[in-house]
Amino acid sequence: MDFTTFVKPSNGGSGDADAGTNELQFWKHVKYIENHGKQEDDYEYCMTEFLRMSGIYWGVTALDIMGQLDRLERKHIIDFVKRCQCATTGGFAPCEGHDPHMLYTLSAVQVLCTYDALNEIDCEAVVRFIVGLQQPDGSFFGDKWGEVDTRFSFCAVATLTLLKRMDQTIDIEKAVKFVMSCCNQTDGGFGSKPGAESHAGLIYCCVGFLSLTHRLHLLDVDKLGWWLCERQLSSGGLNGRPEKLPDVCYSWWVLSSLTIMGRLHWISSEKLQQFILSCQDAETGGFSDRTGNMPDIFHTLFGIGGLSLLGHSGLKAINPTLCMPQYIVDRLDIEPQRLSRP
Amino acid sequence: MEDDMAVDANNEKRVLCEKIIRDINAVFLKDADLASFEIIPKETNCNKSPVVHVEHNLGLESWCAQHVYDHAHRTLISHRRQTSQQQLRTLQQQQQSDALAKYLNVALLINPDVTTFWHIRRQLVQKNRLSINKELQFSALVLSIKPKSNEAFAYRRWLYSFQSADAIDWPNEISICERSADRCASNYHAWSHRHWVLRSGPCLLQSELMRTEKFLRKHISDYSCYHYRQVLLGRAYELCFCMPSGEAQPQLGSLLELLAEYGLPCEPNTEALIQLMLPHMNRSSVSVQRLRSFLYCCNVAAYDMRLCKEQRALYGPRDCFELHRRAALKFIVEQCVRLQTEPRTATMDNSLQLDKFDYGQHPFLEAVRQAESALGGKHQRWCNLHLNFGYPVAEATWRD
Repeated sequence: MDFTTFVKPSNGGSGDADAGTNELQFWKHVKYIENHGKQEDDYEYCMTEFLRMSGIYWGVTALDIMGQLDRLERKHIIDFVKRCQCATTGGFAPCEGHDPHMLYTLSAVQVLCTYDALNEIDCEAVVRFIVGLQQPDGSFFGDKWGEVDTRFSFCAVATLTLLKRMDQTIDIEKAVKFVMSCCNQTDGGFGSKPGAESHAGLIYCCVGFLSLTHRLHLLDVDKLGWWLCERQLSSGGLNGRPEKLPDVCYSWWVLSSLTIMGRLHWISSEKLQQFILSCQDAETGGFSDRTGNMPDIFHTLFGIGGLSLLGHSGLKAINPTLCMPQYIVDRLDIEPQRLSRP
Repeated sequence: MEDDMAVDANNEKRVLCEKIIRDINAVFLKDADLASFEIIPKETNCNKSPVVHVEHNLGLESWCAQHVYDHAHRTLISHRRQTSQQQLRTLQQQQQSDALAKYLNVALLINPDVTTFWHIRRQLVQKNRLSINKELQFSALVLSIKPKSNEAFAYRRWLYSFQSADAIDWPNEISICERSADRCASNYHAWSHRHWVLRSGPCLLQSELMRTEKFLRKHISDYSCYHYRQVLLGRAYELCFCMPSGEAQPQLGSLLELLAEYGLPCEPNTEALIQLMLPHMNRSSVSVQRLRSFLYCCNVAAYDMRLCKEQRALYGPRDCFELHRRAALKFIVEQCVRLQTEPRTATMDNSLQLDKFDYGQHPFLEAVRQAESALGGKHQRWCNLHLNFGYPVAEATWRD
């Protein structure tokens, strides 16, 4: 499908600012992402160096969903990723000079999968890094200094799945047991550690984890689905926990979780789509967390991702478990578990 | 010529940044009780030091923050880009590691999210270049500018791993969590850290129940606090906790009130309550302690149900009031069922078989089931889902 002919490129702001955020400002977002990496003297850029690898993954994925991946320099990005692999531990740092961590190891592998360049790094070393971080109770440290979080459980299985090294590496049973111990019986949701508050982002990580380990039957789909639907507010937007404001990134985490659970139809799609579109910055491009705020690359990916899950035209399909273009996941011959719509 | 000027300008910048960093660290050295840090909004440089120190509060004028951070950041990253051997030499050398600490202080106060900078501090602690107590103070300083900083909380947990449990000031740690939660609504990491204190320290259940109630009355829609209170209740029951029995009959006023509201007035004594709430329980298999704790915890849950009702009357309907009342109700119903179901487990077993339970045989639970049906379709659907109350409800849309 050639969607570049479908969407009209627009070069100036339209006179009516409101109209600009009722439809997808496709080319504005493309330009926004393209320019994102080019402001190395920018203060914000320096301040966010500690997550650069994830920033690259967000930009690469968003552009690929929009079919514009070739606007970025493949070689430049792959070289950057390679330089960030730690020779001692095998893990990836967010940027040179920073320490390796589970989060940036996943982002690095996701970027390389998108570019079909896994052969450029030492994959065995990555496996060793991940296996070395699993704890006796099945949980995972983020790095050698010892923080436990269900996000890292997700990162571990997602990375190993992409590397096709899930078999005979980590202890999957124990890992599952730990993730399920983070389930809150009062609402069916999941937190970062046992006893922690249910949080949509962490629910995505745990549901994604169960999807990758093919254990979705362990979920109480009705209870969790209910909780996720309670995230939708009258504005149409989704929040991450009770009493919080809506945020575009939850459009991703709640929606992808519901999709994996086969319950996407439980959310009002039209109102949500309106909310996501209202978070666009019609002047600079990009999405912000909510209407009227400053855009950033993180919310841009999840805005685009959410719209793709809702079936917005002009965007490639996105895989809800791995948050990567579906054609890449297909190309890798990976099929995370998904529950069908009842 | 232009290049020379650029180099000169850069040198000047560097010299200025070095001076500001020195000034900041002078404050650190001078003030052993430094308690807070903030960036003072000031866009122009008035040709005097941007470092402000007033009564244990440290401030840095905003006009220089970007440049100072940039400089400290570059210095620290170039340290990290050396070989491990070179880095080790720096850490082991007193003067050089002191210098590193100077940059770390500034960089982390301006940008607390940089994990690698916290790692360098950890290495310095391991090499005895930084003291644990001063590091606890530093992380508290970071929390004063970023009460949500998970890095700061995680660092505290790491530091405490070197100390024995009885050497730690647990109430102080709770205060830090509370201050952070006070400043930042639904502060996930503060409440998560508080949960770590709860599990790692001595029994703080009683004081925590009191403190969280105070907090809820002040921050009426901070759901993180409500959730933590649900965790407290669960933990109390798990530990068979109840008030020490100085008196013959424990204080169970809220529970008695709740029973009256459900149309089941009860004599204010333990035996009558047990007969009413647990008529089919096998008494011989349940300890006195477990029963005492059951009544105590149900009383707390009943108290919370009333609290939610009162808050709703005062402030209007809010999600948190509804959610917390549901959680408290669920606690009471589930524990009643659990104690009257064989085989029975003493701990919070997740596989409680509510769908096999016949509410009709239990006057108390049946009265609850009847009364709760009056609270609308959405509540009925929730009760069906979580408590298996079996109301005949039409499958409306999820949004009702």
